[in-house]
Amino acid sequence: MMKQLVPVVLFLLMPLLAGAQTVENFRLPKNYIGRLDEILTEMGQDLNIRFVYDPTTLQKYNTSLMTDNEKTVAGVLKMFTTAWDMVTLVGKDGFIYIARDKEQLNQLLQHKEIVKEEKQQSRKTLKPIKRNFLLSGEIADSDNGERIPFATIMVEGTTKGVTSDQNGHFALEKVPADTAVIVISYLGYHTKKIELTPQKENPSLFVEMKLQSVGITEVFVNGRKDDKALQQSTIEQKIKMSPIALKILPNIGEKDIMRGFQLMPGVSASNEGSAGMYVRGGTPDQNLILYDGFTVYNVDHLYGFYSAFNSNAIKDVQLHKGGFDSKFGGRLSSVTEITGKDGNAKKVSAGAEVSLLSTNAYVEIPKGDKFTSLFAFRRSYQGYLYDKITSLSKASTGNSNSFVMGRGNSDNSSYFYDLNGKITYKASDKDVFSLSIFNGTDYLDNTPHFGMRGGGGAPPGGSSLSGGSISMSNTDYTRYGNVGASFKWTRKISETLTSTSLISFSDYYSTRDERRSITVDLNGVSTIMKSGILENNNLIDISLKNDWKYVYDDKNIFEYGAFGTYYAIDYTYQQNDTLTILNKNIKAAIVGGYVQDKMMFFDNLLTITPGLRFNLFSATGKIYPEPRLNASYLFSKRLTANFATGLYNQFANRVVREDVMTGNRDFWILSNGKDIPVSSSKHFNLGLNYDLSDYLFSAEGYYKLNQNVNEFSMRYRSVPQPGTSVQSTEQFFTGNGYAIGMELLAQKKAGNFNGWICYTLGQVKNRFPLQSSKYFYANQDVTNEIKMVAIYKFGNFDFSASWIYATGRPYTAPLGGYTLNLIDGTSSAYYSVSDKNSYRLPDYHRMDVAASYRFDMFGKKGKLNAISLSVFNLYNRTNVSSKQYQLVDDVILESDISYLGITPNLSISVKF
Amino acid sequence: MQKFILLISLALLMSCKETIVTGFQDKPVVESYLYADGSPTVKVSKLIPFSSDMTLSDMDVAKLNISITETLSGKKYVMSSNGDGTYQNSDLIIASGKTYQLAFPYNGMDISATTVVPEKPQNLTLSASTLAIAASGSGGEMPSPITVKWTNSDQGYYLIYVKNVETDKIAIDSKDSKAQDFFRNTPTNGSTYELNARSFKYYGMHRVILYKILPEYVLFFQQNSTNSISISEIKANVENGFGIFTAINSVSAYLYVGKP
Repeated sequence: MMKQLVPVVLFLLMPLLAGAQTVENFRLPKNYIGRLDEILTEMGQDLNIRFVYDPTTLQKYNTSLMTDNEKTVAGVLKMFTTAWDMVTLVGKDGFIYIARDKEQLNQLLQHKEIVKEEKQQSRKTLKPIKRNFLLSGEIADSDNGERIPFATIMVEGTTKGVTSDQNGHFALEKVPADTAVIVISYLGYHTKKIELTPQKENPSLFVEMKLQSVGITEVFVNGRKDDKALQQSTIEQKIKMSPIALKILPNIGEKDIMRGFQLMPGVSASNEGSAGMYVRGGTPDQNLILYDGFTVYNVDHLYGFYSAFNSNAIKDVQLHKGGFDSKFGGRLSSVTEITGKDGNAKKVSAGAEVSLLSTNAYVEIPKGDKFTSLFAFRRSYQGYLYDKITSLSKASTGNSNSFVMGRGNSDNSSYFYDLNGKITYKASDKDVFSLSIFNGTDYLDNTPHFGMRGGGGAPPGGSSLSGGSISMSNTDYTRYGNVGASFKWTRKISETLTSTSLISFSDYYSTRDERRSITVDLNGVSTIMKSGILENNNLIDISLKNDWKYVYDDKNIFEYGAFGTYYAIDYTYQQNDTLTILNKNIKAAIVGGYVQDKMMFFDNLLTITPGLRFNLFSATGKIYPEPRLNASYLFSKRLTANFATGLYNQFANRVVREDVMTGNRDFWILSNGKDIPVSSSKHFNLGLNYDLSDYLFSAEGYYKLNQNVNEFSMRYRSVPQPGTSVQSTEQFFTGNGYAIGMELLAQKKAGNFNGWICYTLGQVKNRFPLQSSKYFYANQDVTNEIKMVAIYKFGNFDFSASWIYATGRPYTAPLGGYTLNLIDGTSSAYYSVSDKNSYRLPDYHRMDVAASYRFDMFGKKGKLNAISLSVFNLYNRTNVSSKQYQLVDDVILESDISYLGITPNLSISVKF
Repeated sequence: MQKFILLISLALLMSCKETIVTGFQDKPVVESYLYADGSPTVKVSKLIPFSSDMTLSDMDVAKLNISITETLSGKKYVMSSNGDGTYQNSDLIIASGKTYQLAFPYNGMDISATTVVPEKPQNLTLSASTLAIAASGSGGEMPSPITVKWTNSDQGYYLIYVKNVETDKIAIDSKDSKAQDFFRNTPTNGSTYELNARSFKYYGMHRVILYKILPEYVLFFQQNSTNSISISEIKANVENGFGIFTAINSVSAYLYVGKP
């Protein structure tokens, strides 16, 4: 095992170990003639590399750099030293430093954010007019005017800073002087510096930031290029994602935000069959997913191989891994906050993508300077990739019930689609209204046709078919999805007080109809009549929220609000036509409020955010208070510690029905305070980050104590009382559990070679007293997980590789089996099983690689179009998802159900 | 960085630890249906071990000391072995409403199970006593289904079993003369069921049996997964063992299937 790992480890560590020396090997794409500083600007754009120099030194020279003479960047650098006696250096950060002498080189290295000496001096002579004043403004994308949420706004040289809200607005209290330099950074964009100009009235800033992938216009580096797809926060236990930068990571056919997060520490990566996230030992339903404010209850497309989120319609994603703010509630584990794109505010634009799985198109239409809109649509088609995944899922179908037949030859239309739409109306400088809609649906039709091709359904029945006597009325389809919408009004009452009012609707629906009414002569058995499953789950969530943010002073930022949610959840589960196992119909409401104060001490070195959230849940009539506390401390500019604790309750639970029949294995149900109690979790998180300019080292630990976790099980059914139906109470198990773990991350953040390696050590155990007094490993328990990601940029090419290793998940195996003759003379096999989850599947590992080439089309510059080749599971590792058992002739046979083998994919994206 | 790699390597090595699982016990499998008004048969067999690490005891299933006790009177009936793991006692006649307890020692454990004989199903009716089905391939519409009705005042479970009772069977589809001559539904706690014409394979007289079964037995008719994610164990009513010891009561009606 270790021998196999070593070369992989070394390869993926290359960016961390080797730095960016290979930048020198870049070939010149064309000849350059002109002023030296302008040539470097152009070359930087063409090759996507960064030169650091003092323009006053270089603009004195005119020259030509030819593909035949200099050939490569190394040749260019050689010319600087031979022709002009300059000093050059390729930094470990991937920057190329050019200076007139060693002294200037040292200055450049010490001050990467070079500002002209003259300008620096002139700023030094500036006298501030105002001190300790309020600075507010908005951050937007320079190309499309899209407001940028969660951007960081800092006063240079201080620890004073804020983040922008969802509309890109920020308010920074007590800026020391109006000669200060404001540094604005956001994932995927070039960091921008604004030098404030002393004046009596400071107008609100409007900062336009440039997307890094468009190319570098300012070669003269004004700060750092922040081009990572994923970034771990140092002051909170949070991961930020830039969906735009996500395309450089390997994928299974679609760039996918959920799969992206799975490459980071603390988010499990070994579950290919779930797009939902297992965060720190939590299950996907314990992760609150907010899309423009409304809750999304289903994220799976195609058996969970893809998430339902179209990354072309998403602007920003934040994953709070634990200890989240009082603003969020209703989930035990984590929060994924997704902000949809508003759409291009400057011009009509459109784009399309075709991959081997789906086609994807979007259009952004602004109207005047107040309306923006975006519509995106994606639909799968039944090509090679769709069929491959579908067949994989069918292979995992296991059922020994003699009444359920094999799947036969289905020749049906199965598909998924998703639709995103958002309309934003900026009524005034103070008021923004937005309407966001989302619909993601899967339809999986497995109706067997048994030689009868064509037609949309089962045969009408009764007639005799050639090849055997079959008469049946069959349905076998699964339809599930989520439709959601939100209408949001954000009002900037003053620069320091903003309010957001939101009304939202979300409907999760899932129907699995696998009913059969068959009379068929199959292996001499014709005892089949009505059988199968009809499972129906519908969840409606109507919510109202009102959130306030008040920047009281430079030491206190208050956030408070109120919310109300009305739930209506129906769930019926019928087996064998008439045997209703479960029939739940619960309506309930949750109302509540929250308040928190972000307090800064010791010149902002210490931040403490105490908060309180409370929920009144109508189904139990109880109030659930949730105290929260977050803190962070900056030991130095580089070393940060953070701590978070809190109490979290969950009222709507997704219960996994342990059945791998057709992939739709779960349903949402509301706690009723009786057989399905309200679950709760206490979090304790501690993190330490060492943040260098090019590297980030992070260690985080967590402990979660979970109470009243639910599990639905077909196992250990207690004997129902004669004369009563099978009660659902006997199908639910409630218990306690815990999750404990440690996460380590080493990331090289910048340069043409970048990437990260992370390691998670974790344990999740539960105990259900009704089953056993012993703790058992939860299904999602993964002891060790290592993830390595390497990204290499070479001109217009992006290369990436990721490798994932995870301890095999626990499973339950049979200890023995027996056959029972039933009263009709037929027989069935049954099993005696091991202690729950006491075995481990083989370790999971795989490598994915991707290469993409960016190019210009339709006369537009900026390399906005790309063709990408991606190979999933490069070395074709057979990863086992589960095991299948069969009792044949007094022997129990075991076979492995595998995940996807090597799967190449090609995709093309173009922008009009 | 080296330390970091070392740490990860250590963790990897740690993960190679095998999980050792014990828990296999040689418990008997019981199969016994107590039909009202009949004499019981008890069949005992051994579990089939999953792997060779799991060893069975040397208990002989043909030499067990099995008894059934009628709990109200306390009368105990010792079952005699047929030598093949089956046991019977013709002195014991199962009566409606009575409670019976099975007991025998096995591998150091006391195996026991209790069942209560249900009352006879009440008011079984068929919507028609004949059903006309055209021979297969001769065209014609399928007739309406036959509705079976009964009284189910206590939400009990019922199983309907239909069997052709003719000695010389004439297949409805002449190409399919090997079809099974019986069919059944899966347990229902309703009070009605439709017999679809498609289910019948043969012409002639059919016996429609309505079994009243107990919840402990219903468990064996439910979906029974064989995948490690969901593989499960049915715990019915046999203490320290597997299988079923359950009482059944039934009534019958007759239905004639003929040509139009």
